[in-house]
Amino acid sequence: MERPSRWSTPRPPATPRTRLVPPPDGFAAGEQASSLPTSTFGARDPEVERGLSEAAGDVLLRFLAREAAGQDDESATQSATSGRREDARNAVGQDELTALFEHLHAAPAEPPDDLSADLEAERAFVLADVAAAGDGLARQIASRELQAFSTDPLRLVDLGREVLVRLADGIDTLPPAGFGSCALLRVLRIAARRALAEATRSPAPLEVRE
Amino acid sequence: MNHHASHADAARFVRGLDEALLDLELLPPGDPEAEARRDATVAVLSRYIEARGVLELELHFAAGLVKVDGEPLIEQSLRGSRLLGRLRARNVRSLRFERGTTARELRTLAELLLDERQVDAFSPANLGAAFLRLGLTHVSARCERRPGVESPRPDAVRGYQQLAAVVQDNHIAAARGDELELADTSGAVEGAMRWMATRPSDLLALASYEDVDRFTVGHSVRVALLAMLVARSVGVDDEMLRLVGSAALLHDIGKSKVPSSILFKRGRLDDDEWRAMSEHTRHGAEILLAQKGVHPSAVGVAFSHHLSPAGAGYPNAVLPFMPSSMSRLVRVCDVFEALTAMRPYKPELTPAEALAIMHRNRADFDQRWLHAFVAAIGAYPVGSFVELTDGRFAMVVAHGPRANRPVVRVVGGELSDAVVGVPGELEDVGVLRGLRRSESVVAGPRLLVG
Repeated sequence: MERPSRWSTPRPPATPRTRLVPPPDGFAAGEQASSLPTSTFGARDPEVERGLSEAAGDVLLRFLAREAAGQDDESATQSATSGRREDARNAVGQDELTALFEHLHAAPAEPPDDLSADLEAERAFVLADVAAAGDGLARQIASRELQAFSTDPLRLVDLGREVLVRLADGIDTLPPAGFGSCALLRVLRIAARRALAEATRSPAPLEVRE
Repeated sequence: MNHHASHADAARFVRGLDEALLDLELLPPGDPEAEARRDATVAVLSRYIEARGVLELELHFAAGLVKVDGEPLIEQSLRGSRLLGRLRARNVRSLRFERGTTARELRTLAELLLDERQVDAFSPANLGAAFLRLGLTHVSARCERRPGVESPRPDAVRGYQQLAAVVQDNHIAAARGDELELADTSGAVEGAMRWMATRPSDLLALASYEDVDRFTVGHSVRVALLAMLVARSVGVDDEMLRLVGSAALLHDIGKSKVPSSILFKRGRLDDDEWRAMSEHTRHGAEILLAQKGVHPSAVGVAFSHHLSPAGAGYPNAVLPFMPSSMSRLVRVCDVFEALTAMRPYKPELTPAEALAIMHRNRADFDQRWLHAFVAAIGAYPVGSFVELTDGRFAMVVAHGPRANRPVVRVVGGELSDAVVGVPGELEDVGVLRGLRRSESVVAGPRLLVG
């Protein structure tokens, strides 16, 4: 871990900022929309300290100015109601924070899957979904691509055993009067089963995911 | 009404002007909602003029910013990039709206700005006559004689405007059933990648501005920035970074098909509304699938960013679903952003609280991406303030050896930094809690003068 040993910008003066007049509401209307500090994306940015101090001062002034102006919030009552509900749902106790940190500390830091992992499987599921339940041009395109998918054994085999089983079993369980009657899905199921059988006979076994 | 409040009205008026452009692009002529919005905008203008005791409101446009009385309207400048772009293309330096401006004039001006055949109306020689011919008696413009006099603004404002513009443009195109601007999307993401490598905090500073608009532009931009940051932290190459950024930027494109009355409803959605909302993921996949040149990852992310790794959530997929690794990353960033977002109707959560809630519902998230997220962003992100268990406040200056042991600088303490809970540094001290932004304003000045 790399640690800065010192603040990288000069220490600000000990006197308060001279800008005591509230900023114009062009800035005031620009309320921050996230609780993330603005420096999240630049931990060692030399401007961080200055930027934060200015932002902190401006926010404070905005709050003071708003209280003085008597905020006009036409949906204040509504906000209060939904706010209370949200409060209850989002309340976080100290015990939960402790549990979070214990978990983060205890769990082995396994690297996440490669970002390209499962893209092809996801594609197959999206195509099956849109071909069966989608609409308009997208449905036509999905149907066409799904058909090509079903007739390309190599592409199917590349999906891996788990995905093929999931596809085939999933289609098997669809209600016959519903999506189970979709011809494209039935073709996909047959192709998936065939690919599974081919792979079983093949000297190179299909990859089995952990 | 004081100066502060009337300035807010000027900002609202600019927002209304931008909305008028959007309405003309999206809604049929005579749409009552659009007319009501224009009426309200004109009322805001009247209130401004009345309160200031002036005869007009004059807006200036320079260096990618809207200014009133010399003060930039940052939020409006970030969101109104379409308006600014059209004004820039016509070399308009200022617009003046006099007392008595009508909603009809507002509409005419918006039509004029949208009509590419009428660009000549803004040449200095034609300007006065053209405006009068169109009935714009209370509105006037000042234009530069030569095109391209405004120097480009090579800074974070422009970078953010580009990201926001592609989200907005693509949502408008999707709502109208038009082709998406995919090349622009890639270009904006590449611009963001360059910014991340040089001055990343500038971009996020802008990304944290309010984004309550028709297409939740700011949310999409923030999710994209977070996803790119986490992806970068695990060492993906530039090509993959571009794919992640583009997919995350477009992940909510399906919301362009959800009525705004549902999208922005405050309070609980009823069953029908919920069904309509939950379809935005399928809509998104359909929109992107129907486009040429969209990478499959963007289609997948749009479809499955509300699905858990086990496939729970929505949409109610036809087959038991399997989200990709990229979708699982975007889901983590999407939920985290939503929880930490500040909205008028809900309190913001600190990043640590947001992570605790995500931990509470941990089956909903890919744990490895969640860990990578915490490693990259931190439970107490750099720049945030914390209260220590000994009652002191401190600012986080770097990630520490553990998520709850950041490197901090104590308010009023020495200039050196210390690791929380480490012998020889801040021994026997822990982080009691992270401070909300609104609390940090108290700690901030104290830290800086300490």
